[in-house]
Amino acid sequence: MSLPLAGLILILIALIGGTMAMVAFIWAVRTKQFKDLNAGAYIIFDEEEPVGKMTDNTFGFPESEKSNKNKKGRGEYESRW
Amino acid sequence: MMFIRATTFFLGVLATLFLGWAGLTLIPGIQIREVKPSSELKPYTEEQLRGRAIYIREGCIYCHSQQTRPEGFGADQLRNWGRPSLPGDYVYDKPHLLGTMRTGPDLFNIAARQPSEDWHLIHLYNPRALSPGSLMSPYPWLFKEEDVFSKEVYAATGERVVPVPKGFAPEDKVIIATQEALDLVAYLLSLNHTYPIKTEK
Amino acid sequence: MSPDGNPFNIDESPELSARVLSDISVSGPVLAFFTSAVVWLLIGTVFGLTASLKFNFPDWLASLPALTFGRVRPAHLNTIMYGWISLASAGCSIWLTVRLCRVEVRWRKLLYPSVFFWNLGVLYGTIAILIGDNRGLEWLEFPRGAALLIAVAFVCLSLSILRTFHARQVKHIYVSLWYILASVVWFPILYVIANLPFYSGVTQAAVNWWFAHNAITVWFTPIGLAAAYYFIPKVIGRPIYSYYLSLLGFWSFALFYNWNGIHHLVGGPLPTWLISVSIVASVLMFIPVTTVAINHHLTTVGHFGKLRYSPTLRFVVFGAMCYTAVSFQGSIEALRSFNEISHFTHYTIGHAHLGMYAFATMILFGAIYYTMPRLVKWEWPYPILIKYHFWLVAFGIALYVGSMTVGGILQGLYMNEASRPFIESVEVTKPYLLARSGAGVLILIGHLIFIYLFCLMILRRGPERKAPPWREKMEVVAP
Repeated sequence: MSLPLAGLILILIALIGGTMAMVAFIWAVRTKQFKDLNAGAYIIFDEEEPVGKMTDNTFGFPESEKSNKNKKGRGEYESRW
Repeated sequence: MMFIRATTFFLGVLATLFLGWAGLTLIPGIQIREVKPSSELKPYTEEQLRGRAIYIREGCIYCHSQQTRPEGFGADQLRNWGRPSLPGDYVYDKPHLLGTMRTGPDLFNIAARQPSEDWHLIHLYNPRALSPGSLMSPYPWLFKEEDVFSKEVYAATGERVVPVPKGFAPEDKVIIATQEALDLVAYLLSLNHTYPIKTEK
Repeated sequence: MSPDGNPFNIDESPELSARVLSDISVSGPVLAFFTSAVVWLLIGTVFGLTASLKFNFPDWLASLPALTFGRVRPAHLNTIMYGWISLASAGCSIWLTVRLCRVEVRWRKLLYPSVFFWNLGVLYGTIAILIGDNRGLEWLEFPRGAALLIAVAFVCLSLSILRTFHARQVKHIYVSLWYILASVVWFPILYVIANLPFYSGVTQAAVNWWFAHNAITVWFTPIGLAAAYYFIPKVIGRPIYSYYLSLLGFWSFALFYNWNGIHHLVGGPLPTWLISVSIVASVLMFIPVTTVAINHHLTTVGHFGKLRYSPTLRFVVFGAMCYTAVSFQGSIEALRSFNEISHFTHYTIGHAHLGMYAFATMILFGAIYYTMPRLVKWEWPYPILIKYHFWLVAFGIALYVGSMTVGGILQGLYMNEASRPFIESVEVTKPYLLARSGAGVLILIGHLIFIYLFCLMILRRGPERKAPPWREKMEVVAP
């Protein structure tokens, strides 16, 4: 196979593939696949290890008031993106 | 729905790998396949191939490169390390030994810079005998030590005596190159790609 | 013994959460992966220090062929890459998979053979290198027999992970899982293609470095990122800042990173367009790397105080920050103007260790510190030793990267000055190479401490710490 032919085929594959990806993406956005996107971030938590609970305290420091201060109060975490 | 998503995901993942593979290896491979080597580049002889295998075995690639960069890109040309190397110079190289480190100098044209077999044998026995300050490993197992006899005796037996400078070998011994050392040096002395190339490719 | 052969006595109440059941189901194989990984860590570290010392004292142990720099150096690389990092990543990836799918592992019977063949392959390959049977390609030195064993082992891992994924009980696929699933599909294909016997000449060089960089792209980095995306939010107790950003990050990563490989051959005898393509792809990496950095940083910001509590968080945050650093460094390093100086020098080695140690290894330490108590139901007995481990290796790798970076730049500058004899580029690196050996000693000591602690955990020795900390009343984070 000569180089120009191979290059042409590669470009065609890339164009077709890219178009397919674009179509799939637009379809996904229009059928609201991304609506629940942020819900996925919560999957790492469960009843015993909920949001707001540290799950590693190997160094076992005594709890102190000072470290509890959180500079940015944000409530239940919401992404802006 | 999940099935479509999952399938799309895996297809996309595979596509990214194969696109990269095609772009970085397949297409260049096709382009390079069309390159013809210069008629002055000869395939390696048996002895040189044995030496090349020793070069690989001892890991020379981890300190030495075999690719000379173009003018204006590094000092390879100013150091007279040979004209910029081209794909056609490597057609008989399997595996390639381009290297990625220059703890030691580039070797692509070492035979042109240093054609002395004695120099290479001594250098392999102990690099610091010829190159003070060098960090290169010595390769004593490529040599054997014999009790000193006269040079004539060795000449008669055909053994290759290595003239190691005083202080770098035991006083009462003579250093003889084994076949492996000779093969390796034969390979090093084949590394001369200074033949001119006819067309810019 | 519980029905699946787990030897650890589970004295929980009968109502075990899915999370605990997942942990139990993989504990045996994960411990096998981690234990063998730690053994290779020790071996690989000793090889590394030996290689470094060979530059400080080239005539030391010079009569032993197996310890010559040219053999010990690839032995170090391969035992660390395919031994320590790969085996620890394998254990980490299967543990993360069951956690994120909320099921028990499937096709568990494939995992022990995976551990076995993997270790056998690395052992065979390492011995081969030391006795001189080296295939002559960087990152592909192992004889094909060893590579085949590793490929088979990897496929066993892939099948188990994919089958477990198929049985998932979750509606959302967490970002870490995307990286893991991509990895287990990518790497076997990559490894097999790279080991085929069809290549020679500069084409083979292209395949060689497509492979070597892609091993980082499709195996080492994804598992490191998967771990960071899990442990940072999990330990702190708040979700990842922006899930959408992580989606963008994953696909731009997959698309661009696969094209980087030829940046290892800038200035080399290859088509200019090919080299340029890889340079462009290397610079485009700013996009995915920035998204990951933003995500991790904004998840952690306001909670850096928690690093005092959790060794996992220390190691993983350190690793995640170094991921950003090494990636930005790599993007710059690929540019021709920079590469002209840094190529062929110790700078590259510094970069490699910033990536494979300060990023990948540190994150794997963090992962092991988190998972082990949950697998063996025993708490790390001497927390002070964990701190020694952390600070020794943190200082060690900082000294390593610092010395190789400065030394490498000087080496490159001297090399490019034709009026200087070549030997001067060697002389200028000597103090930095000595500093690197010093760093290696610090790292070795840190590793010995870690290995000691790991052994205590496996054997459940040492003082029993009262209540497992993740069950103590933890401070509730004001969200």
